[in-house]
Amino acid sequence: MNPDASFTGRARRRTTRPGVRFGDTLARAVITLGGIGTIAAVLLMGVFLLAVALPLFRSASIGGHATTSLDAVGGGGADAPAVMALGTDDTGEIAWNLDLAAGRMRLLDLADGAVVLDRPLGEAGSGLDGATALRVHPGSTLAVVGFADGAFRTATVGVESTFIPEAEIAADARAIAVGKALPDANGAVLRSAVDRWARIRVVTAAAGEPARELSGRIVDVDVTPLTGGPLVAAVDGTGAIRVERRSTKRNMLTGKEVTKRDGATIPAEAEVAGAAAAKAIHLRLSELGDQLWAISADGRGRRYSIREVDKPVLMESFDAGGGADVTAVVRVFGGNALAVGDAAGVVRVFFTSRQADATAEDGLAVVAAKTFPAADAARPERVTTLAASPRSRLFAAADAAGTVRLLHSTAGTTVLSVNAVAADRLAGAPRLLAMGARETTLLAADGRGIVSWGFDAGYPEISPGTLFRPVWYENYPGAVHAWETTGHQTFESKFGFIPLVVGTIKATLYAMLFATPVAILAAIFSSQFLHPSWRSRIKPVIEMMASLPSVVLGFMAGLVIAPLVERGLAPVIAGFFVVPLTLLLGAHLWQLLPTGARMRLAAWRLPIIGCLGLPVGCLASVTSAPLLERLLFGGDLRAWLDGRGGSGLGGWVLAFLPVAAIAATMICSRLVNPWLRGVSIGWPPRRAALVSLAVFGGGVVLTVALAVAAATFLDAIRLDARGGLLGSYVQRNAMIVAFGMSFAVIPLIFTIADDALSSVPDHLRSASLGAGATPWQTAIRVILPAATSGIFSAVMIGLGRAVGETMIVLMAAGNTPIMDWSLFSGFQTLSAAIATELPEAARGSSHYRVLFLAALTLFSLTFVLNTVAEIIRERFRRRSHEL
Amino acid sequence: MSTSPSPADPRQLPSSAGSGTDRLAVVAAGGQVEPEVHERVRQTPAVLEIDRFNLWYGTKQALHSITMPIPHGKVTALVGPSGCGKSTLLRSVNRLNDLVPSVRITGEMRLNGDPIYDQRMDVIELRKRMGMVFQRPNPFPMSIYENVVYALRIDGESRRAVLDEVCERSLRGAALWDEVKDRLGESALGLSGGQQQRLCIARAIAAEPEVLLLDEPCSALDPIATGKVEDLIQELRGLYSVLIVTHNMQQASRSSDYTAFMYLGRLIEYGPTTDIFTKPVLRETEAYVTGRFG
Ligand SMILES: Nc1ncnc2c1ncn2[C@@H]1O[C@H](COP(=O)(O)OP(=O)(O)OP(=O)(O)O)[C@@H](O)[C@H]1O
Ligand SMILES: [Mg+2]
Repeated sequence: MNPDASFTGRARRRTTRPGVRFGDTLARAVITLGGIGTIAAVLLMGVFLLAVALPLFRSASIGGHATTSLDAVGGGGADAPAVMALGTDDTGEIAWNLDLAAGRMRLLDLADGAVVLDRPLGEAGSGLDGATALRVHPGSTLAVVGFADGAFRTATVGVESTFIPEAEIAADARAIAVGKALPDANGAVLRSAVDRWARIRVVTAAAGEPARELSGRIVDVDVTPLTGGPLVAAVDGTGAIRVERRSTKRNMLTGKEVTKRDGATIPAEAEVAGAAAAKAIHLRLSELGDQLWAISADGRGRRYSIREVDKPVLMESFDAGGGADVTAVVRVFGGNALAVGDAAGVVRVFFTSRQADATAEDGLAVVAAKTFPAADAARPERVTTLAASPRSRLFAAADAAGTVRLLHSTAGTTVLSVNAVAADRLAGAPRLLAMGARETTLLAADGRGIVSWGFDAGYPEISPGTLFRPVWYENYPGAVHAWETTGHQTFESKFGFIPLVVGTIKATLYAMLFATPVAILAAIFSSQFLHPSWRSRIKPVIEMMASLPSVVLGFMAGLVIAPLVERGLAPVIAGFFVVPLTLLLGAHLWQLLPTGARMRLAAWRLPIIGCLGLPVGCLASVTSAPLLERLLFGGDLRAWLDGRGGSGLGGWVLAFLPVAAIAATMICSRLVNPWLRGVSIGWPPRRAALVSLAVFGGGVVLTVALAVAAATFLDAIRLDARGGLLGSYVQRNAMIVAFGMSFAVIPLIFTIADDALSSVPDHLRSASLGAGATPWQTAIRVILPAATSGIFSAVMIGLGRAVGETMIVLMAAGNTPIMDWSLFSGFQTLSAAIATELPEAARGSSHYRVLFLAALTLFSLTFVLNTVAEIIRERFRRRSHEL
Repeated sequence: MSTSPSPADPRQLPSSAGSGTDRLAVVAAGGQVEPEVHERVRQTPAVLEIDRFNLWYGTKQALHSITMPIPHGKVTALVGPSGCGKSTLLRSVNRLNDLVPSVRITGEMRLNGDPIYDQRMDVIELRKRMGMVFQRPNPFPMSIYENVVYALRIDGESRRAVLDEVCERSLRGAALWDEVKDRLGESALGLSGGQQQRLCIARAIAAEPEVLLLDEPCSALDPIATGKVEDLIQELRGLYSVLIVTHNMQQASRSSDYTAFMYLGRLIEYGPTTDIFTKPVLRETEAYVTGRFG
């Protein structure tokens, strides 16, 4: 014993060393900062996504207006369409106005409405004198003019603006104030708001020979540029229509240009000819030049196919007015749809689409897809004029009360509304509208004045309605959810979110349906049955699988597994049922082994059954596949899936097999097994095993019988699995994604579930085994319930991975945003859409912002999922803490 | 620094009266000693015979040639200092040690004549013939009712009447019925420690085992709960063959018919409890049971 030792503790230092205190404080500070930083980073991410996506829902705004008063000259009655054209230059700061009735060309400064230039057409307009109809193709200077004598000709009308290089700016131009313009010989020089100089050249010139096939006064004309030359159409006061295509060829030898005119004249219909003046016809060509629409003022519409321009074919007649007289017609951007305004103030959007009840020989029918009610439902006013935007499916409509509305043909919404008739604006209802080249200015003219507004339409094609509700897109047979964001220049973007959300859910659902049972069973096996030394070797290998780059998995799934499965679809499907059956059969056969051998090999039971059962099962699936195909699918599975041949029976049988198996198991365990236990006391093990094998066989037969019965019933009431759960097989589909994704998800679920299962206190296992439970019973009845919290979080983490997984779905899902639940169809997920489309989306465009909205949706989806998971897990965990 | 003798220091013990050699010292040195098994033990019919049973954890031998019959229908107590292999012996009886991968055994055990370690013995069936209660209460995370009828459930019994009857009988047998009869559907984890342990006993006797193995059933309990469990063991006496491990000498002397004293994996002395506690053959045993050592 050491006499110096003291147990009073008096010798102990009572102060904590400053170093320790400092370390403690530092650690606390770092941890606090790190924690807050993490939370802040996640929040910031959400805020950032929100900040980019939110402007989508900003409402349109309209700025101040500027009014220009014109000399009240010329121009028929108040109702007669003005022979006038209106537009802006490319900068959007200068408006031009060609007034053929007055014979003047004007340039206006849109900032204050000041007239920059107002000059008679003179020499430049020599071929345009006395025009009765004028139309300028939106977005270009191509125009067509019609005359009182029935002649019509093409022309070039509008302004061309070019920026002036710094060196060429004249001295007087330099003196212009910012935003002002100075007239010059050909037009004006503008010092734009962004302080650059632009030369604006007015062009007004007739081109080519006039066509003289018509004899009456031309009331409406239309033109569309095609490769090779413009397609023009005109209608005269008698109702006769002339459509022709002009192509200019240059003779190589003489150098002379020869203009060829191919076309046809459609004589007036008998009943129209009589009352021609009262029933002026609106004439429109489709942008592609394959359709001609003639809509008379009484609302009768005709559609001609002019694929062969010299042989127009009347396809159908349709009602364009809905009872009221048609007062205005405009071709919406893209050229496939017409907006038609009527005397009751209603605007409808028409286009052709494939309809079952179509009478036209091309199978198409004109449908009124969108209807915009009158601006003021209580006092509807006649629509006076319509104008389409040159860059989107926005169009403007004015009514007799002077209300000008911006409407969107895709969304079917009124974007904004403004009044044009007021003391400081127009005196009468607008007779002409125009939208600026940049879609930032709106112009309205009534013949005596022009008023302009600056406006910001926001993102009119995006609204909760277009995102989440079915939309009737141009040329579609009906309203659908669709996601299609890229196409040609005049393509109608389809921003329906639902197909992507469905795709995401579908990928997650099928992947989880496949991966969860496999992963949990694997975890049970490794934690409860596998020898620890094996487990310590196998687990890291599987964990390593979790870190396989998903692009590799996607590649494997999309380019290796997909073609393989496509070739052997029937065996794969058969395998889903045959392989488990073989394994169960193997387990039963095992019981037939002599007791001694069985006990000696007990430790190797699972590997032996697995190693023998799997190959046998695979072999059995391959051999049984043709039989299965013949029995259930009329001999050809793929044809059956495509809907050719066979009844719906086969698919239902397969779909019901798992349910039937569960039902059969329950029937056996409820009814047969208790009885069997009663009579089997004292039987030798071999006999008991044989009887249980027989019961198993009976169960299989019962399962099949139940499935067939259920399938027959559903088939009898004319339900078909095709179109729902099953459908045409495409190479990259949900099943392949489920395979591929399971490689990413299974290891994740497996490791966490395995940890959870093996951390269940050993005394529970001992207690259960000590009570005579088999390891399997122990695992299912005791270990699994005790590890619920851990397993649940494992599944949730797997789910989180599956929801956000990108590369695998990108490469194996086919990226076709189809909306169905078929196991065999492709789809596109939110994440894949973001990955593929974000790089090519213009920054700040609606496409760009919608993709951010997709990201936000994904973000909130995982956020909600995890929160719910955490709440449920907390409940489980509280319970398992008591163990 | 302690001045009291080390408990494992055999020199502090009075030398053995019977043999004249210090058995514990021999054992500690790794030698073999013949266990002192009283004649009366040999004469009673045995439910369980342990025959020259050795057990190794890896290379470390935990049981050394244990030979002892466990009398039928009696309570047999296993006593001995911590780490002497009592639990190991108990877990060997129902082959729970099979779960430890490194375990290796030689020798034999027979339950009513059936060789336990025979290759043809179905371990699951073997365990169904025994009930075990562990040192720590270990109810399953399910309701009280389901805990009690667990053994029947795993046998596939689903008739409500049978289950109800067994549940009530077992809970009454474990002196727990009156406390839980109104809350059978509640989670067993909500019970107190003592109640949980009695629940575990009820669970063990529900299966009507041939042998009941109790491994320090009262070590986690307070004196009142201990008293209840002891009373219970008294009641089980005669109904079941009970093998109980305990550190509590009073408990052993009060509630057992036979007592075996083990030391470092060996059986030292084994005889009727009254003899072991009042006139042991070996002085080492006397020293241990009187608390002078251990
Ligand atoms: N799983 C195991 N692996 C290795 N050695 C073990 C294991 N279990 C027990 N042992 C060792 O075997 C010996 C006997 O242990 P056992 O648990 O049987 O003692 P005991 O008599 O029950 O002790 P106590 O009274 O403290 O419960 C001890 O030395 C112990 O360290
Ligand atoms: Mg112990």
